[in-house]
Amino acid sequence: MPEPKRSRLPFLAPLALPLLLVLLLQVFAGPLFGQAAPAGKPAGEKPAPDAAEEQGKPKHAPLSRRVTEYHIRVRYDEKKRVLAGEQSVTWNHPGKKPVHDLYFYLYPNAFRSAETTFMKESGGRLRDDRAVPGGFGSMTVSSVKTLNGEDLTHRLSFVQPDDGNGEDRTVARLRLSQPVMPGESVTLLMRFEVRLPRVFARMGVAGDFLMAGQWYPKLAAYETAGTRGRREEGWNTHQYHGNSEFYGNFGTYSVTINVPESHIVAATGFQAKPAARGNGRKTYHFYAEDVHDFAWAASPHFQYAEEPFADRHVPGVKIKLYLDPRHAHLKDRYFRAARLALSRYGEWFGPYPYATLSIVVPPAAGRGAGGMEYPTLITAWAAESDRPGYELEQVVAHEIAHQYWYGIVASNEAEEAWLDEAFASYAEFRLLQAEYGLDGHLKREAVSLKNPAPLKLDAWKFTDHAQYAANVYTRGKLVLLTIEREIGTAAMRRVLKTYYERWKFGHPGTDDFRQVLEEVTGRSWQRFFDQFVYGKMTLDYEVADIRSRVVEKDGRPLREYTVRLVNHGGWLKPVPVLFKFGNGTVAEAYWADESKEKTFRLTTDSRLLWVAVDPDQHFLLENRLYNNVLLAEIDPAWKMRWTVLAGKLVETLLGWAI
Amino acid sequence: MNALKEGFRRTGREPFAVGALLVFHFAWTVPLYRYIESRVTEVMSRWPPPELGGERAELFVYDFLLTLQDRSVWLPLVGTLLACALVRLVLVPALEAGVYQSLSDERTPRGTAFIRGVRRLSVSFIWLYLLRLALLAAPLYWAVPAALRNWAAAETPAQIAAGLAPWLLLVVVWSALVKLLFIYVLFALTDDERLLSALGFAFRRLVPVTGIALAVFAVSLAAGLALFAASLYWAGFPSVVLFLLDPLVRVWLKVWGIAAQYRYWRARRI
Repeated sequence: MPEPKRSRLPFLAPLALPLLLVLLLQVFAGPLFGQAAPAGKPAGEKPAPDAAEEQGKPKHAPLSRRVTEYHIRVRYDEKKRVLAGEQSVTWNHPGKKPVHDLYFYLYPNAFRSAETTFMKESGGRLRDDRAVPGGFGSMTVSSVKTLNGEDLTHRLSFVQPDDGNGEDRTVARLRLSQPVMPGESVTLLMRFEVRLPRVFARMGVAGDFLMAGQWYPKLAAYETAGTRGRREEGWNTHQYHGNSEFYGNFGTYSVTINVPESHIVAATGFQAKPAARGNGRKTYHFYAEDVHDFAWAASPHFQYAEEPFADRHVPGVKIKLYLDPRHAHLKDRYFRAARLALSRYGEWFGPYPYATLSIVVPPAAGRGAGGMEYPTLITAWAAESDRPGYELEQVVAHEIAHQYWYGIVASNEAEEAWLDEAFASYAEFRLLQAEYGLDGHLKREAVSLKNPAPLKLDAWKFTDHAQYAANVYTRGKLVLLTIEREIGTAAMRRVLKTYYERWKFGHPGTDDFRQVLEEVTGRSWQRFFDQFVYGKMTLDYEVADIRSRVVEKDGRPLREYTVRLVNHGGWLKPVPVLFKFGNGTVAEAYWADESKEKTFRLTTDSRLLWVAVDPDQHFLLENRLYNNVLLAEIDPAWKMRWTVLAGKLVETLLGWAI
Repeated sequence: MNALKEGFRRTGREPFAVGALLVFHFAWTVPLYRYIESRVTEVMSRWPPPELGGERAELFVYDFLLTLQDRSVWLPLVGTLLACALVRLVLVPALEAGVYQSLSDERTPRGTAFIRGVRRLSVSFIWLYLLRLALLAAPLYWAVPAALRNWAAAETPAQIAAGLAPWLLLVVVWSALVKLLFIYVLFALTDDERLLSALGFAFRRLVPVTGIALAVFAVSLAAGLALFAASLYWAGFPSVVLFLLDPLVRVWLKVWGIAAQYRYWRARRI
């Protein structure tokens, strides 16, 4: 780890105080004059993608508890589609009990055959992408040694903690020859080889584009007692699943990547020194700290651009853009979206703590690599269209939001995916609303929730990807927006700011978020969480039926209507009910209690036309909107017309066949 | 022209066949329309009133389409349709066997001829209808994927329509041709003649045979549209009357279509 530079210019000391003051003002109060201008290189200077980065020097104090330390060297053989690597990995025991086993993720083995847990669960399909027939990939670890030279390779065995599928080799257990004691560390030297799959489900090769995510033997997460409500410390290990994403301990990465000379590499962290060339190859050296994963991408076609950015909520970051040539003309849109996201999230949640943010735009053939987050590196959607709509901004906003919840707060995406995906979807929605004037389609999203499931659920226990996505992304987002409607935007900002500040680099669980919410708002949210977070509730009020009869009052014939409402869902607060009459008048009532059924009786000299529950559609979690309204009577002529029309259609179809 | 005239007169002398088809028609359409009416009532009574905001109707349609994707919702609908199709698959050929026999056999009393036809020809007719159904559906094998591809690629409703039109035309022309030729196959079966020679007969005289079919079709279309428009316009009691009148006209036209072709077939064969 290189030492930070110290000043060797003592004669400048008298200037130091005013300079410091200006700097502080710049950081905390924004620029002194006019608009926030990106600091750094003047516009028009062509950036070099292979140059070392000054601002990326290691910081003095670690931001996180650094449990892991990786030093990796990897060589990409583009002809064989193979990554050959060796790593020294140090694990610093964060707990209080002796540890006899280490667990490693060998996630490329998810693509080893059609029988792996991932392939069986996903059916070779994920997020509109399909596995390429025969495009399998795998990872082998050929050697594991201690620093003393003791060979532990034979002590490596595959385990399947989630489903016992013997064909799954995505988790390996290493039985150590002697336990790691609390406070101690162990360093292992490992050799590995990855046969890269064709790009599908986040990683692989598409033409000469390579996305290397989950590409090295990565230590599983070790959770200390108390983490996410855990009673006893221990490993948290999960196989590579169809739905689940990732979780790991924080640490440092020093990675050298050797690629063909023509390739440009984008990676987590910053480039520690200029790329070295020789023998038609190029070697990059990247360094990252206080991150829990390391990913990189390479292509000879990347069009590189960079932009330093700082404003009152962003201390200073270099945005590095690796564009597929098809999107070269969209450079400014990517930069703008990234700047706005960093700035707004900085304001809403807290400052982005890293020196770089890399954005990779994969080629059309690499669509499976698109829309993914890694620490300080995100992938946008693949460049499939020359004229993308707002999905370009949406994906940048979403993935940068992940830097906060997946990257820095670092929730467990396997067991509590909503803490990342729903929070990122919420942030994306708010950003696009604030900066692009897009209000989204919240109501459409709500009605599409036909198959709700608990939000705090192991990702592979959802029935399929559609149910996972609908709940973890959409229902979770609607839950957060519902909380915001209840407490107000200002209070919600305080909740998220407090949550971020308290739990950054901290691996919180759902209960930790609830506690922050309760602390900031000063009331219990247990009931709400039991229904909508731990439970699978939505709101579903139905106007079930309307009956009428003629009654006589003071010698006048009046109509008495009996309106029955049913609550099929959870309960949030009193719900308004609107009654509309033929004489143009309306009446409003509240269903204030938590009963499952409610009957309203109205006696009127007018005709009741319709009844609507939640007429203003205030409840975002209401997922069956059609049953919110019931007409007391329908026009018989139109009923006949529609019946004839539909009947003729059916008759014509059947008559055509037989 | 002669065949059309004689066929029309002959239809008037087939009260049993027309009556049997009419009874069948009511037997399956009345429950079908009841079922459709109940579904229509359900949708209409939930249709959001405009006072609640325009986008509610849009959401309603969106929700409705999503709901249709739910297995427990579409399965009963498709099941009902399939059950109707199955009933028709057995009963339509059986009843038409009666109609064809009745047209062929002028000397036997009408009812007796009709029932004899049902007994003698039903099974063969059912098999031939199954074969006909397979032939009718054959172009869908290519048309449906092509239409779906076009649907995905098209950006405007006009493009969707333009892409669908040639396939729709192909299906319509092919269906008409297959149905027309099968009438002659059924004639041959009824008259104990060789099926292939009947096909050859229809092919050789495709122009007059098509002419007869088109003439009956034109009258059917005009009558059908008039009745349909009237039933939409006069919703209420008049539409009930039309609802009862409509099948009579349609059954009559259907028997006329067969009878006219049969006259032509007999006239040329003798």
